[in-house]
Amino acid sequence: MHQNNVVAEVRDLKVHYSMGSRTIKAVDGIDFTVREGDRFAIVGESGSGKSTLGLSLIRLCPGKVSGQIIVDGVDLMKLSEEEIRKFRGSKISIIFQEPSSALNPVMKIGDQLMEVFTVHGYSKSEAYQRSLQLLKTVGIPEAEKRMQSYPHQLSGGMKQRVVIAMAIALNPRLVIADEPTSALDVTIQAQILNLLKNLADSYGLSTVLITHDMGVAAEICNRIGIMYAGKMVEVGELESIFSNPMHPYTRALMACIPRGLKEHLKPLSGHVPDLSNPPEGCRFHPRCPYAKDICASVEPKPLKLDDRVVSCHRAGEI
Amino acid sequence: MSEQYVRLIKSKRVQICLFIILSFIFMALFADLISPYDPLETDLSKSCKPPSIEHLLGTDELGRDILSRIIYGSRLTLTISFLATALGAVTGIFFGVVSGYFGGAVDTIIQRITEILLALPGFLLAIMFVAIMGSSLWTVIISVSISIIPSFIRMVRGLTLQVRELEYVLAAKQLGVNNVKIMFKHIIPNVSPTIIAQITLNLGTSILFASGLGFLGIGVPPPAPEWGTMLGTGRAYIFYAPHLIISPGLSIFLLVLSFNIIGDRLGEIIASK
Repeated sequence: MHQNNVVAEVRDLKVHYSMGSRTIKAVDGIDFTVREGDRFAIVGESGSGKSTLGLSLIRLCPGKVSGQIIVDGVDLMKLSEEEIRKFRGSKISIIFQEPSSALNPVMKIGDQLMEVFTVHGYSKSEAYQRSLQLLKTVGIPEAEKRMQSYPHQLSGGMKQRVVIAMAIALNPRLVIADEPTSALDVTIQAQILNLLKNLADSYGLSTVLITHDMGVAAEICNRIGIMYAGKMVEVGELESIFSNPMHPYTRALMACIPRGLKEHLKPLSGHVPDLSNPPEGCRFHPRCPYAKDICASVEPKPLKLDDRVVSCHRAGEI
Repeated sequence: MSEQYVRLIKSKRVQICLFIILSFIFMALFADLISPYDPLETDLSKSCKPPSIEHLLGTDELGRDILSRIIYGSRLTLTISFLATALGAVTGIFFGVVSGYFGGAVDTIIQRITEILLALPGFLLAIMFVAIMGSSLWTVIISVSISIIPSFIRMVRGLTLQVRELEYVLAAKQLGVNNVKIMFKHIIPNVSPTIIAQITLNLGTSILFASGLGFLGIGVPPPAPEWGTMLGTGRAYIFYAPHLIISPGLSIFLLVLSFNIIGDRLGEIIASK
């Protein structure tokens, strides 16, 4: 599965929002690579810029985006609006967090699914057949009947399956899932995660999973990137990060995963800094238990250690 | 939500309003069959006769049967009202959704023009247009529609701004659906309840505008049996023969009130959601 074909490459991606005189650096210089078959998790707290990152990958982000996003050999930043429109859905697509708002409440499920095909040049009858097949693929019972249903007639889990069906309809190279299970019950969460995993395996999809939950990431991903305050602080293989987290923030996140009743959670105090005025030096230093003087003044460079990229002055020594 | 609409239909007030509107529509459709006289036939020997068995609502200053003129007038009034509202709504919805969806320079230009239109009272705008184009059925329709366009642009733009940011619009966009389809298949159907309430209200308003123009003598030109024109000419005989203005006045009053009550109730349901 670990072929080295690169599906997506993001280089020095920056997304800045200007609000009045302030500039909010929601994403501030991020690099990562997604290889074919990868299930790449981007993990971070609320406000770390991970959803902005997701939207900017398909150029739907309202802020000012700079850097390079290369998907399937094409730099999305250089495409015209019309070219990117054709690219979306067919090469790259996104699954949103809230399935109930990601579906148009006044359109039938079938019509919404078929629209994905018809706008990309399929005939009506072919679109219908493919939509039906898709609903079966994502595990929706009585697919023919469901084609005629409106979104409010489906449960949250079913809606999310439809949203997933729409995202994978045209067999894109890369699917971005932005907190796909946060709005769902825990039991449904596991089903949806499994579905995503199975689809990724059987279709050879590469997936970027955006989540705040290390547990969810561990469930289905093989690589993981930890985001903090608009920066990627640690990127690497899932197993190696879980067995040996190098960045203090990764450690703090790991300490937040519940492990049975005996062990207490160790919550990380403080919150994500104001992105219009981030701290000098390492952005994590005010909350970091290992901070030294250098951390408050010099921004750490990404350091390559084995299979890992870490941005920390004390990487390897702690 | 549908339960609220059922309750709406079941309310007495709304039923009475619907009955009034439907009976005027019935009159308009079958004017040729039910009107007892030719609305244009004059008979000066019978001028300004009060209501009698022969002429149920009396005759006007030229001896024309008022009942027949009211019946034929409903055809004219409803035509103006429906066409003007349809024209105004379609134009307003189009510019409103374009303005709200694209934003930026397009939005600025459309909104500044809307503000200019809004700065002038709608009725004044309608008078201005008639003054330029001369009075005929079509200039009345167009001028009434122009006066209701700005409110539609404003309303639809606001609604579009709300819906534009919802995830299903983003979702459609991210699957490569083009802007035209998103505007007309995803945004407008989702804001249609509010639009329908506004249209109902405007059906009433446009009757008022059209008859106002008629009253001032710049509406549909005589001898057409237009209610506003009937009011305007009858005004001269207000003490001598009040029945000349009571019937057209009451017709306008009932029809406008009915449209307004239904529009208001629809608006309340939407606001309560």
